[in-house]
Amino acid sequence: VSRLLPFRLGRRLPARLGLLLRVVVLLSTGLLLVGLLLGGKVDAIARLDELLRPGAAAGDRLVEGGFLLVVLAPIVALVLVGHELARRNDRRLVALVALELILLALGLGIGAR
Amino acid sequence: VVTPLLPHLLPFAIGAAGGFVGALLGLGGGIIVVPLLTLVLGIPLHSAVGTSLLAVVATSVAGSAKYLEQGLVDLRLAITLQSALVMGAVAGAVAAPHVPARWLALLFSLVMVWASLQLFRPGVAGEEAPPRVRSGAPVYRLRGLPEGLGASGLAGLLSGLLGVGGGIITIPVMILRMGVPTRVALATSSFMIGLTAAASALVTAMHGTIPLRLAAAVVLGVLAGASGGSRLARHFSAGRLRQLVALVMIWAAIQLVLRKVMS
Repeated sequence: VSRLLPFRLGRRLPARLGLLLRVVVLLSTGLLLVGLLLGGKVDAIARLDELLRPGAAAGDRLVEGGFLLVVLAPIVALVLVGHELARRNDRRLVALVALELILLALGLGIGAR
Repeated sequence: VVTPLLPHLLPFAIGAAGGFVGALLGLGGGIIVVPLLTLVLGIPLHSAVGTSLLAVVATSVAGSAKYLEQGLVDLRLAITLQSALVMGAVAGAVAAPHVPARWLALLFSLVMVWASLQLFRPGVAGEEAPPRVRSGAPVYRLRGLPEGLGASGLAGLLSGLLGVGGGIITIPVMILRMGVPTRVALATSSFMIGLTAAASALVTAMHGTIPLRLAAAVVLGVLAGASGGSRLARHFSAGRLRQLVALVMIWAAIQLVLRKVMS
């Protein structure tokens, strides 16, 4: 992953991660609130829902989006920390980050079955 | 505009109560949200656990943002302990649907009693001088790593099974056994439980036991309550509040046993 990310996080990593998480909280709060407000009453979203997932209530997709955003944020933060550790050649901690990501994928795989 | 939100007011209030008390006491809020959802709204325990997991992720993300900017999160320690946490969390979330609700309620009650005893214990959530921060990271001497890894594995397992953050186990161990300064322990635990709860929440969501709209209202409530709680913290006597919440939690644990285990 470190080779794929063309930027350095350096000493400002914690501050940048903090900013990223703040933005995620704002966006997901907005999505959850709008999703609850819209409920099943907006035609455009209802039509989109019908196309993407027949039978789903309108607005629920926004709620799902809000949750997906907030649930993925800690995983993205972990990848960014791993990227910085790899740049510093801290192999032991990079191995732990890789282990955690593999465990996550494994858990999702088992959960999906 | 307000009408579609009316049915969500009670779940929002429950989330706000959990977030508010959680912010004042340094807890994730799951330990308060799950019994309230089950006892007040009659939500099945498995669904309450899934809802709580999403609330814990949201609280962690919001709390971590603040702590990271203050340089209080020990990222190296977080990565190390997270490996055990995630392992336990995935195992717990995979096992949760197969554990009968009665056993889950009993286990949750025991964890609530343990958490209440921790709240009575001096020195765990107490005040202390802010730690030294160098290059965006706290400076202190770490010890007892194997104990920390063991406690993290247990905390992860309980998180996946019960929808709590696990901070109620990791924070006391970090402070009392690993020599981590209180504020660093709170900040690092907040960052760690986000990933743990995210792992459990994703697995739980795949089982389809999370009621999305209810969860949205609870999460919005938790975020609002946590924000209010952190702003009003200095106006409250933390010691008295800790004891009051501990007594309420013991009462809720007894109610859970009476209604879900004995019935």
